[in-house]
Amino acid sequence: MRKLHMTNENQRDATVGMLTLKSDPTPRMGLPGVDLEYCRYVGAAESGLHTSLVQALGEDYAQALVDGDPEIDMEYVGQRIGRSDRIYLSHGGEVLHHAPEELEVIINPDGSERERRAPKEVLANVTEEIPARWTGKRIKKRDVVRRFVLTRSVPLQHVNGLTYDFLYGMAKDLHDSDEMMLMGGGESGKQPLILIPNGSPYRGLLEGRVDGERYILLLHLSNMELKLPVEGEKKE
Amino acid sequence: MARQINVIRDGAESIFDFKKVDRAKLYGKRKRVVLDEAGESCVKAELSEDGSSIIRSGMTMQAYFDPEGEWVESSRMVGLDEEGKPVEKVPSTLGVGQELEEVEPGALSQNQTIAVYHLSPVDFDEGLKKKLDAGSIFRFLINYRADYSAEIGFLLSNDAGIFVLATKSATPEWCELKSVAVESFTDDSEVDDDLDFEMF
Repeated sequence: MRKLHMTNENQRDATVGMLTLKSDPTPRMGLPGVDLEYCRYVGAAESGLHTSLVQALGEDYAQALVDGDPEIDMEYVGQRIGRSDRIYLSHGGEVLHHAPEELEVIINPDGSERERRAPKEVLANVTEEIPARWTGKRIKKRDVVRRFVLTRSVPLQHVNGLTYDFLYGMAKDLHDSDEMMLMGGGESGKQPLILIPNGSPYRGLLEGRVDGERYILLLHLSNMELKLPVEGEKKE
Repeated sequence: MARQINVIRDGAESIFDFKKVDRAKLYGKRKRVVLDEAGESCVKAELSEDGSSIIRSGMTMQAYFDPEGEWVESSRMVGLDEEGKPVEKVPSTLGVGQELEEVEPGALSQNQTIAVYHLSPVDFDEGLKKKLDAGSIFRFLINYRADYSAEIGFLLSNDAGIFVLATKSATPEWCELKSVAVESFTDDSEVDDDLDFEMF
């Protein structure tokens, strides 16, 4: 279980549990009464790939496939692929035996390349030392869902009796006011939340529901507004 | 003719053209490129567990096999429920009027959004327009192509236009004092993966 360090309205902090909100089950594909096994397997050897066939037979190799099945390596095709490791091949097809150089490429909304740069290491701004802060900025639920795409929702749960009171109090406050609370990250408590190193920044919006002594407290994460692309729009 | 989203409220049908909106179209995106010593882009590949084979893009296939090891064509497969029983195929809803149901914002906020569409009215019922302008949110079934489960669509509008969010339903569980979140040594990676979408 991942944990979240957060504050409430009085800037009292506590660490609570983050659960996973999974979508309700949908039908799976299969055959009634038959246990099917999913499998990855080799469909073509390297000699059967397009570039190799062009090298061996020229651009117009369709008839050669019909006549002699040169694309099928009987020793190799059909082998199951189990666990494997990710590797990188150089431009010339050689295996890289050392850590490669990485570049970050920034693409504009219109698909054009804006910049190439060395990747920036981004630190998480919600940590054991830095809580996600209750900013005091309240937004009506109806306005939130009409303004932001809630990309992900994380249910928060107490880890003991004290944090039950902590979370229940927040849930009831937000439930009664029909609002969501903007949560902020970083020392200032005003930044978008970055929950893991090099993770994406998200707006954090807290939604609470109560039913008697029960509560639901959802931390909604959003990295997209409900709007249309604008020419020349700058990246966040 | 392009396919359209048709919705019905109080017997009046509205018809919309639609276009998908995604994050990259709004803000752009960033990607990481791996370079070799010559400064040229590298290619991702896999090394088999025994180290005997390099598997390049285009060399793999995937399929389902029955207990006898026979390949099962996807056209033979059907949707099965949790008990393994076949379920009815759900036709595409595009071009077919779907009944709207007005809902509270919480019905949308708990679901998982999988796609966002911007709508352009072709035939717009005035009553529906007034409700959307006033901030109402409507739920309906949306299914892009025939398959075994429809998505839940939410129709709403704001200053930027009219949008449909296609979502998968989710049901958060109520927390009670006696049900305390417990430590687990297996969940961390799953949650981390969920949170790190690399969507920039």
